[in-house]
Amino acid sequence: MNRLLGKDSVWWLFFACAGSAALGCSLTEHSFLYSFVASPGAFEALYYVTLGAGVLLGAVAACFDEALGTREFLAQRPLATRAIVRSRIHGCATVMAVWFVLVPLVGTVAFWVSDRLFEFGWFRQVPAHWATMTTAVPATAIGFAAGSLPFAWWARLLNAGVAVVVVCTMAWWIAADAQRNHDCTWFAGANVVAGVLLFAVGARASCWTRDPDLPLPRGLRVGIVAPLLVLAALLFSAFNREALGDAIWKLHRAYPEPVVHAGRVALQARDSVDGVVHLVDAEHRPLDITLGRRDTTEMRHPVPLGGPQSVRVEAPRFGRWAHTQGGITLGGDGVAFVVERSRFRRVGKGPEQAPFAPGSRVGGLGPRGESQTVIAEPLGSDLWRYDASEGHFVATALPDGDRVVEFEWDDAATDEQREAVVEGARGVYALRGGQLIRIGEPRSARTTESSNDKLPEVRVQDYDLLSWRAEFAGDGTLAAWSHEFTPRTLAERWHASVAWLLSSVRPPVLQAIAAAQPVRDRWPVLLDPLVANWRRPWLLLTTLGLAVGCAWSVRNRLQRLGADAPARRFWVAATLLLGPFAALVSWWAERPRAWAKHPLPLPRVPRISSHPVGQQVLP
Amino acid sequence: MSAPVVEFAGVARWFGTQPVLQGLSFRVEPGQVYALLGRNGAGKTTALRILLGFLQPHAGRATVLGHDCTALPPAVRGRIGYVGEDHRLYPTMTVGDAVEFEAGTRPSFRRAFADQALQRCGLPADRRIPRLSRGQRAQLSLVLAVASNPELLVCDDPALGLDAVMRRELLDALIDLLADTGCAVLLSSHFLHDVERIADRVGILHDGALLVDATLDDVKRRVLRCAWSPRAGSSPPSGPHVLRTAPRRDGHDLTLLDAPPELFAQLRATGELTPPVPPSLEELFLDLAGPERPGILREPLDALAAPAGGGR
Repeated sequence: MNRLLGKDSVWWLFFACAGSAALGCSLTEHSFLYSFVASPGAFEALYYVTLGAGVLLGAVAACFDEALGTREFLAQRPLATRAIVRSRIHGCATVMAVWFVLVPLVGTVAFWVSDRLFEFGWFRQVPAHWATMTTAVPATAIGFAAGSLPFAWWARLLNAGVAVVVVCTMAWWIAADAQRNHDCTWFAGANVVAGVLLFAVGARASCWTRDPDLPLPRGLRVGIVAPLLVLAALLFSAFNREALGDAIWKLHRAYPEPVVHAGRVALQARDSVDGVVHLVDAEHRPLDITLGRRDTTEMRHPVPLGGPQSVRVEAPRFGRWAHTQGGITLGGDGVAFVVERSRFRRVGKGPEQAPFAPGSRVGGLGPRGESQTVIAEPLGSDLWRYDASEGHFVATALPDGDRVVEFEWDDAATDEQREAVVEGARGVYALRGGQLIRIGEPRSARTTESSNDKLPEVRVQDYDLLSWRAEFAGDGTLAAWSHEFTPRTLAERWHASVAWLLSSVRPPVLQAIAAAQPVRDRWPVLLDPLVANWRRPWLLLTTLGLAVGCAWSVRNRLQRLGADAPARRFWVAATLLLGPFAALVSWWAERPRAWAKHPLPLPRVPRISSHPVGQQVLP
Repeated sequence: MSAPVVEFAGVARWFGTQPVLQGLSFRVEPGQVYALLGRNGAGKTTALRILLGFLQPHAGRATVLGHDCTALPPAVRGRIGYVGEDHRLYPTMTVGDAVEFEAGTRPSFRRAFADQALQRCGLPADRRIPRLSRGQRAQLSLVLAVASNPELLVCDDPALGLDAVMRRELLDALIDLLADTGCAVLLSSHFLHDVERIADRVGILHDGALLVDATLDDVKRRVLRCAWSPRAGSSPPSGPHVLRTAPRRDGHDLTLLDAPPELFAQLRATGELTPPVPPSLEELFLDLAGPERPGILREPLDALAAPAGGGR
């Protein structure tokens, strides 16, 4: 192990040093205050540099010998493949450990050089740095696994790309809460689990060398190709779902909209070529009535879209962004700081400097304003005003035991005229002369009806994304009206056909899962809402039929190529479960077997041989 | 008869649609130096890579030290030394590092032997690998391979790209190193004079199979060359004993295999015949694998029967 590590010392020393420097410097994306003292929310630069450095590290670890041309020089010695792989993973782990130790220190040095507000000893955000840097674990594992695959370079790159998108998206969503904030533990945990699994894939892939003239070995097919195929199919499904959402959105745009025209409800559409707005009939055919802006009155026609959750290769956000007002910086975790004589000092509630509740908001009155800086806690009974002479925040209670609902600044012409406005449950208060004065009713008690709310509303019934029934019950001035929105024109049918086509090539197994789900407002990125709740069974059957057809074609092709029965069974099963996508992959993975189509060569006797005739070496 | 160190039995291998080995069969006995010869692209390197487990055969079976080459256990790899044609070594190492690495990854490595051999070759331990000449790299590769005390040494054209002096030095080093090891050697080379100095047995690979698989002594005993100047009206001889007939100004050069006395008598009766002499290995190679006789293996198999005798 030591000899192998020594042999690899070039790359792991390089990555340990250069990676620490790059990652440490990436922390200077924000100021020292935001990077080390208060939270900036997300460390974007650190995340992307970690991701890139990790993938590169893993790829170099896996391909170092191949790039030097020493792969066979190494492979011909009495070393188990497992030992070689273990030393490579050991090298990667060493580099990552060095990163975790050195990056905060390098960042500290970088700020010491570059930030005049630097002050040694502030490491509050280091856990957030580390949590962000756990991305290095799956990233390195992806590079390692992709580099170890016995495929051509382009196929390894493609697999690495797919894995990056899938793994990053999954870690992002697993750790995200409803507000899209991320939990450090979940994010780090998801990364570590994904990393371990991918390292295992890489270790398994290292057992095979690339030989395009041989079929994939059974172990490789089941142990490596199958998980990669599933990952790639998931990513394909996610992109397919995005395209499907786009087709549905275009169909909605193509549908006419209900308007009030000449005292009745009618449908209007905009010509896609000349942009002219005209009335259409119930079949969405244009009538010869061109409309001006004032000829119609809009109606409310709230059509939900059910957009997908999208693919995310983004830095996690650990809490709200810190904000600075009047020299006071309030972190998302409720801890506040003030800069005095170029040194940070933690400030808080009262003389004991207690921290504020997470999610508190800070406001200030601009240049003069430390004394005017106030902080409001969510549902707090006090507004906290910074008292520079005391060096801490002092409380100003809301009148009548009211609690903070909202906190804002009014729109005064100058900073000096602005005042803090606090909306409580029972009233709205302004901070004047250190006291909260009631200046109005809470918003909930006010009339909130907007002009849009006054428009007549068309109700949407039997909504299923591509078609629905719109009904207007009628009022004193307008007669009742209803219309079936369904693809009728060429453009509408085209968009619907695109949606159906995209749906039909999706993995049958995911379609079956989606079909068993009830209809819901928000859909996971991997599931297709078109078939939810067993609606459109014909679409589901089309998907299945297409998969069966592809599986049949795959089986015939493999038989023609001379593939053995396990190979045929594997790809047929994969195509039945994952659809045409798996058939395409099989076309790439299982190349023609020239040798299988030729008869075995006849044994040949050398023209000049020293063997006695009876001892010729023959097969 | 002892178990062979290497045995190829009907090994076939394609690259894409191109057949490279078509039923290759031969064996290397313990202690034997076997030279695998052939033109560029004949399949020598492919055969050696199959032997070392770097490539899988499409048909047939190759074994080394009694183990199937498709699944060589690490312990068996430790009994094989390998010198590749490009003498790949880690460019990040010094000569001393390379020796350390070899010693750390091969349990049977003889450190003292390696140090002595390097001293003889004049390779300083602190010299970085990229600063070695091609010949020095070849010598270092050879020393490292032999110092691991292998039972089989596989050399894939180790003298490729070396000048005549370096080639001679390398060959001397190989002979020197092998003097008291007694290991079997499977060697591929294009330098037939060198092969003649060290090989016990040669295999000439052509069109994916062996044309010759014989000891050098046997080849020299059974193959004879002579010049024949026919009298008017006589045509050159043909048949299973005539390997090649090449025209010359006053007749033909004949290469004969296992020629019976009757054939010589017939030739003397129909023309003038110079005394038959054994050809050099290079002449034999050109006679058999030369471009003008690509179809020698297309002759009926029953005409290719080889006579008994001569095996080691």
